[in-house]
Amino acid sequence: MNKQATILIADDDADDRFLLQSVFDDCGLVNPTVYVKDGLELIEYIRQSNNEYSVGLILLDLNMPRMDGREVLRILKSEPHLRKIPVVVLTTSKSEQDINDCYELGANCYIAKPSSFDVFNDTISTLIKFWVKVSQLPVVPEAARFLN
Amino acid sequence: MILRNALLGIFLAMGVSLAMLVFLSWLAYDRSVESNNRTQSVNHTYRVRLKNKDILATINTIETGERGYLLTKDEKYLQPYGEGRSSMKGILRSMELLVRDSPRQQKRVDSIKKEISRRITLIEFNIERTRNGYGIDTVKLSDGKNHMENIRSLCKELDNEERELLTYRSILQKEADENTNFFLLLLSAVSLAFLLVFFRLLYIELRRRIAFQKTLEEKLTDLERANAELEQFAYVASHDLQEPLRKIRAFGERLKMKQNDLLTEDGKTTLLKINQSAIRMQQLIDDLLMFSRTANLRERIFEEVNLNSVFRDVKGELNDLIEQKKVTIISEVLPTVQGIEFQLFQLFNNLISNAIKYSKANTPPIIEIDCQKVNGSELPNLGDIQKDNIYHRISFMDNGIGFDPIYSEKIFIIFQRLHNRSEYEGTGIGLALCRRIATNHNGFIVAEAKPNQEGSIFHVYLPT
Repeated sequence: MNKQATILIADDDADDRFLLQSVFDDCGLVNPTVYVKDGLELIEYIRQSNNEYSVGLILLDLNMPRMDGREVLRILKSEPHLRKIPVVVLTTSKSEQDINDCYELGANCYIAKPSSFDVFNDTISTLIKFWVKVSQLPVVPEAARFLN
Repeated sequence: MILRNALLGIFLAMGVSLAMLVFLSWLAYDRSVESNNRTQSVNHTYRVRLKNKDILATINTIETGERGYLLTKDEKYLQPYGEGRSSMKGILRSMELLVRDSPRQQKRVDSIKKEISRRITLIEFNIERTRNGYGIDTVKLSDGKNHMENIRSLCKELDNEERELLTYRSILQKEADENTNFFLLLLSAVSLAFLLVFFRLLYIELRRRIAFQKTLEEKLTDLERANAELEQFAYVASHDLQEPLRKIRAFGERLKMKQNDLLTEDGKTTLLKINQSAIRMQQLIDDLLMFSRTANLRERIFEEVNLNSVFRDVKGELNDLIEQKKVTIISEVLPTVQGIEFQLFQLFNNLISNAIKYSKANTPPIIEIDCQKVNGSELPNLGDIQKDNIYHRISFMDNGIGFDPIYSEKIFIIFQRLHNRSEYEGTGIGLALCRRIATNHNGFIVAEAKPNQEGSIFHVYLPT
């Protein structure tokens, strides 16, 4: 990953998008962020971006109009060149059914939005810092085989 | 009680009409047997009278044969005489058999037999005389006439007696028939009346049941609708209500994080209150959700739950609190019940933590749990049928601050609290949840305040 990978965020709630960006700003994220309002927009964006490495991380809400997070996961994980983009499900639902479903559909991580902003802040910044570090690691040829 | 009485009435009416029907059948049978007997005796009378006529006819035949021979000395007249003599024996024997049952008639038959044998001896003598060429002995002839008259009068007597007997029996039968008929009719009417009463009772009871079932089904529909609405509400509470609340918290906390230093002291306090209230509302919504999930009937799958291990688990869960507050908990051996283990755990947990929470300052809490089997009649507002049920009564007794007895029902209402939040924490869901759980298990929970504020007792009733 030579250039700065994009973080793609799908959330239909404008407030949540604002809060997320506020957390990103606080933790000093330099990567570009792109916001979409539902699953269809997400799929459309990801298909139009020429470089397959341009999206480095997807933060996905579950319940969205038009196309929900489950459907997005189903599509992403069924296409070989999209499958390796890590998807973090970020939703208000705490139901075990949703958690199990998402992992079964291939989600890489499931985060239930904490009701406390402080906790939310900590969780998201930890995740982002970790992802930034991982994405900056040089790609080892042996590992790349597994990634594909 | 009304239900039982109706049932008893039905059984009684059925029993009586059944008994009457049995009696009626027996009576009808008895009557037919008797009537058969009477017919047989009438037959018997006719047979005796017929036999009687046979005797007379036969002796006449014999005499006619004798006369013919005496007048003509022609042997051909002796043929009916011989035939008559030989058949007479059989006739007399069967006559004797027929009158075996009546000594009087027997005596008559004996006399007839003797007269006939005398008469026949005379006839034999007369025939012998004529055969040997002598003339007719007029004295013997007159003797024979006498014998014949005796025979005729005896036969007449016998016949008269039989005729009288027949008349007497007919009258008797007629009377008896009339009596029996009347009695049968009466009995039929009475048992019909009983049957009608029985059917009427059954009909009323059935109508009542149908009405009752209708009410029950309507209630069930209402309940299902209410339950669906509750679930709908739970969903709305979980999603639509929590969503804006989460925002209030997020923006409130964000404001505090970013701008707290810029705020005046008053602004800071106001923001703190806003954030605290939001947190509290979150707790309430979470509790409400838990409560509605506990009320969800669809998740009710009962299994055997040993309450001793539930108690042990709860003690383990509260271990830190128990040590910290120096709590003594004593429990009797508890039963195994049918239930939802997780909910029973919650029930024990809530009751025991309540007892610890509302303990008196400076007095180490002592919690005693005892268990007894009791009758449902101990509980107020219980249906008739439930009153006979046997319940495990598990009582949680503490030495805490107790409560005013007038609140003994109010404390089970959701979000009802008797104390200020600054004194004791909580949302007021605990006991409401306990009642919900007890209800889920077809049981009950009631609270009792010990006198002189020496603590409280919570009785949990679970079906055996």
